[in-house]
Amino acid sequence: MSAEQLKGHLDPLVLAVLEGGPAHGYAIIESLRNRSDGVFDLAEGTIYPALHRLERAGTVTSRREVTSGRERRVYRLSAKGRAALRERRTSWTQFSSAVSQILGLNPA
Amino acid sequence: MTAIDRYLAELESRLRVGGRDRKRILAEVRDHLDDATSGRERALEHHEHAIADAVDAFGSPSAIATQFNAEAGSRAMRRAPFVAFTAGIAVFAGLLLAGRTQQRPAVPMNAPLATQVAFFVAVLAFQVAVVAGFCAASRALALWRSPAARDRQFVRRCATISTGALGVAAAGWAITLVLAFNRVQHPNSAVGLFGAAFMIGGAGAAIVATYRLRVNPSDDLSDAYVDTNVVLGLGENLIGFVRNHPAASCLTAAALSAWPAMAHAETTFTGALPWGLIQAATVVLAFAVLGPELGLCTPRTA
Repeated sequence: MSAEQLKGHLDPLVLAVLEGGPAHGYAIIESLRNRSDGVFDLAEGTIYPALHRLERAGTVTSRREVTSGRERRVYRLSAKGRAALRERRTSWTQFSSAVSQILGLNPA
Repeated sequence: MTAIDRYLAELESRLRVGGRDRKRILAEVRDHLDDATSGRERALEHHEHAIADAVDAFGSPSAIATQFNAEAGSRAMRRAPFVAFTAGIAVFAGLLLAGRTQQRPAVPMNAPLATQVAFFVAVLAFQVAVVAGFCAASRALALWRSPAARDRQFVRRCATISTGALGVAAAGWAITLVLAFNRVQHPNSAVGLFGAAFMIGGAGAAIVATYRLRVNPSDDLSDAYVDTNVVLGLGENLIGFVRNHPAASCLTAAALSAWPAMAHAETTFTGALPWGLIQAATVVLAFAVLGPELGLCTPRTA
């Protein structure tokens, strides 16, 4: 799947990954790839502008920590991020259900 | 120098992000590439192959830098109206302070030619700065949440004209004051110079804000401007109107300029009108000619 198709969806996907626990950038992109069975195979660098944007929005926080013997910047989901993720899940469910119905994938 | 060092050097050369953010980005990218290389070394036999694969998977330096730059540009755009507003207040306060030191008329008719020219240039430049500054601020406000590269380009061009004109106005005003103080021992010289310093400070702040509104050569500038409402798009609509109706615009501006000119020169409206006309024609001409050249307004309507 191209980055263009993922445009607008990357932020909630990152929040969802961080819901499972704090992680650094490389671990987040690995998790996205694994959890999507390789469908979201983005250029790895695209995750960092998204993480910086989310941090400025207050939905994630970060600090330098030692993980696996190396110092890395580790990101955490904030309370605001949890609320944003809940909201995004609700709107996505409505959106995907409506699209599925129109496409005839989920007949009522 | 490894492939990672070369990648980081190229990314750094393309980043338009300053200070701590720049250091943080480069450190994070290096950490990521180190992790990615370690992860790939298990699958690939050679260390160099693992590095090359990690660098390749990260994305091209220009594409990644563009995303960081767009993010930084958007933040600068959101700050721009506040900085422009603060700079405008500083310049206005400077003008008020400087104006209080002036006897009426501000520049007597028998003042040396250099003083009169400096004063005239300062007034003209200030008018240009106000109009261009208004265009920049209105566009920045109108596209507060989603400033596309094309809009940043528009705001940056307007802001560049405005700050340049502010600098000229501040310099012209300072020269006027210095020449006037040389001529007459003015009791409020310190206040006047303080006012000029305020103006120069305001222009400086605006220049810094403009510098941060970066637009990358790789940014997508193909999108047409988003239509804005009448109030927030007033600046651009005004330039478009001036371009389509130069005579009417010039006469209106002349009449408006003649009023304060009359008050300063203590003369009649008819006496001040020619000076107002020259002022207005210069300002209108500047925007009518420069506006379309710099892409500051939509093409002339048929």
